[in-house]
Amino acid sequence: MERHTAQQNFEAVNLSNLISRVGDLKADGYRLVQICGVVLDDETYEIVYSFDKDHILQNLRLDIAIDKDEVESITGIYWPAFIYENEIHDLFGVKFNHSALDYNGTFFKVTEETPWKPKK
Amino acid sequence: MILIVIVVAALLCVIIPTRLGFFKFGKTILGSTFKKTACRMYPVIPREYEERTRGSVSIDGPNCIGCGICANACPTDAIEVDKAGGKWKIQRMQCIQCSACVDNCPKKCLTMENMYTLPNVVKVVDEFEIPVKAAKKADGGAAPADADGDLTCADTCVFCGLCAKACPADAIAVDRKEKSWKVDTDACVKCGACIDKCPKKSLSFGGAAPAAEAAPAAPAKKSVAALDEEKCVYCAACANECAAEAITVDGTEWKLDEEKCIGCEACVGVCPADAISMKEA
Amino acid sequence: MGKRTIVPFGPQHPVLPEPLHLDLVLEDETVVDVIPSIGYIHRGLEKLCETKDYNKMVYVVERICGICSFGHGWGASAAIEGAMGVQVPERAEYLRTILHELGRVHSHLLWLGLMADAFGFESLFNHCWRIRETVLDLFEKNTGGRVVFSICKPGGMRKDISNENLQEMVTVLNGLKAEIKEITDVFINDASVKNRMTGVGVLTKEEAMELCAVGPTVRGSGVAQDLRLTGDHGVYHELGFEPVVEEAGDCMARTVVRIREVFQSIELIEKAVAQIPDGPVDCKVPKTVDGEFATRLEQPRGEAFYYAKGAGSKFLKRMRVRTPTNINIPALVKMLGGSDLADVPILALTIDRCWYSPSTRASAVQKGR
Repeated sequence: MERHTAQQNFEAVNLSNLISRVGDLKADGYRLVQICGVVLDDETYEIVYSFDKDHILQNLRLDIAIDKDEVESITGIYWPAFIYENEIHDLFGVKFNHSALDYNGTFFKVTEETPWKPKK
Repeated sequence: MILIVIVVAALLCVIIPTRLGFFKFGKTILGSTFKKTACRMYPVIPREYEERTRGSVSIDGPNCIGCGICANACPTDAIEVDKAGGKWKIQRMQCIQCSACVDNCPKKCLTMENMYTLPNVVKVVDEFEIPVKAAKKADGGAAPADADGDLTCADTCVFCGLCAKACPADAIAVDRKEKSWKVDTDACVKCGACIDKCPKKSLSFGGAAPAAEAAPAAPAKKSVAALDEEKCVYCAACANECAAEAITVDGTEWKLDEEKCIGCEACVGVCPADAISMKEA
Repeated sequence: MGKRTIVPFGPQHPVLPEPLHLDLVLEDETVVDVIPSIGYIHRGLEKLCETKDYNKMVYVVERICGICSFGHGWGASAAIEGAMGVQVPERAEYLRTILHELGRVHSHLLWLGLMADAFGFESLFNHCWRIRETVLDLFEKNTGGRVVFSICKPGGMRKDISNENLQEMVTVLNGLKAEIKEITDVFINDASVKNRMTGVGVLTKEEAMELCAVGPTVRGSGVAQDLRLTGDHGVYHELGFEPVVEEAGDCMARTVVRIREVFQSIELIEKAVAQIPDGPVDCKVPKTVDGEFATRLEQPRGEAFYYAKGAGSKFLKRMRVRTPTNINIPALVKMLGGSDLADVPILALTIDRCWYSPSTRASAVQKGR
């Protein structure tokens, strides 16, 4: 009996083509599943964007330098992305530009600012 | 006549609203008025637990060897083992009853009781006495007197790998092809699970094993498993145990691949019907 | 234009004892704007996962939500198994499917009860929970826990469930069917219930897709989105699974989806028990996790996302759990716009019962944990 495990599609994007790539996915009828931040090392975050179409998962992987890079918000394309962008902003300290709904760091009530940012 | 009118009127009072979509719940409500209550009159009628109900962990202190595997397996760090001081402590309020410690205990001295820890206003820490290190010598039935020595393997070893499988600390590495047996003495917790498991009784703590004397005679001939078909219940316990995957049980057919058989006698030990013995190949 | 009033709603509210706060901007009785804020509970489970080895981590993930705990344990195990490249034995997949569907029965019955409570039908609420109790007893008998089961582990199941016990489970569930039907008929047919739910909080198919809603919320709006169709996990493709879809998109449709799913889950359990093969329930797994794996599972509340990234050791670099409630917030905000203040509790429940617990618990952290 054949059982297949979830197909893994990871595609690397960079800061310049993120918006156009997400726009293409939206035009193709993809649905936003989630965005999550991962601490790769003391210098780099990885942001994983997941999209779904017909139950197939498509992930975009964006590497950014901590404290240096600012990410363009995708809330203009997918409005529900505000949840994850504000979450990543509050926990990791990543700055998202042109957000459609920016809580300015009040989305999570944390006692310490950016608790998940690597301590130097 | 009047009675009939009343009955009809009463029926209409119920039927019309029901038709219109009201009182849909009436039947259930009426029914439960006459049924026994769904609640148990606790605490007058106590709760009956299922066999698997996880309530709280208990320990059979005297059998504990203080290996600390339970403390390592505990996801909430609720267990603390003080081997030198002979204490086994559990923070009752921190325990989440996942039973990871019970599953991992090599001496099977931990059990999951059905009854939960009673509520309390303080965080309860229960302490149990366990034998301190020195006391181990006294009860050492299987283990030789020098129980403090490192684990050693005599040359009766057939490299079956059952010891490595049984080791809760993953301290033993066996390579059948290379005919090598290694123990990581730092990882070994000296629980003795491998000694109990070894079909050839080659393992012991410290120095020469008693079985080593018999070693020179053994290697010459190869012995393999043999089945007494009348006794066999075809439960496949032997096939599951066989480290060399030499036994297959299919329906009422028992097959041995004599090439693969390493003569470890593990199947003899697990057979519930005593149907397997060893013969010369 | 009427006078504008802001009404704070939650986290302490009779129907919403969950850490969500809504600022409802009212014009007379009508909600014109909603500002959600979360983050009242910071348990930092995702961060905690990074400090536990992968075996212990499953117990942590299970505790994200008490109601869909089996699914969370399964999802986390599946993500780790995927990262390791391990496939669990057939019997384990069957057992997981059976327990997951049993979890759905208990979760939906709980939700139906709370829904009845939200529109003030106390006795209906009590009856829903009375039936649910029998399902919890089944869980206790087979797994040892009533709420958190701790039976799933990376590589399979920690305990086997005997075929006799599975058969008994089917018998008990079939016996419950008539009782559940009696209760759920009230939801569908009673005039007062209909008045509260029909045509309330309509979410059209387009809106549901635009707002990336998941689970019964999106299926109530006519979208056949169900992660059980993927066949990634469980044995749903062998059980002839078809998603339950309702077209209306209102509170009633979302309720009917859940009601039909209760019966569907019982049928799935029955089919799975009839087909379950004998064999081992766990397999050997590597000592360390390397690689990464993203996967999803259909929880009673909708799609849950699990992402595990190994670091070549027993510990994970990152364990991400995105729970269904999280992604349904935008849909809730949309539904609330234009609704009556009196309907807000019902709408807040209709998306999901297990409100914010899954989402914030999984994603925030408090200093000095």
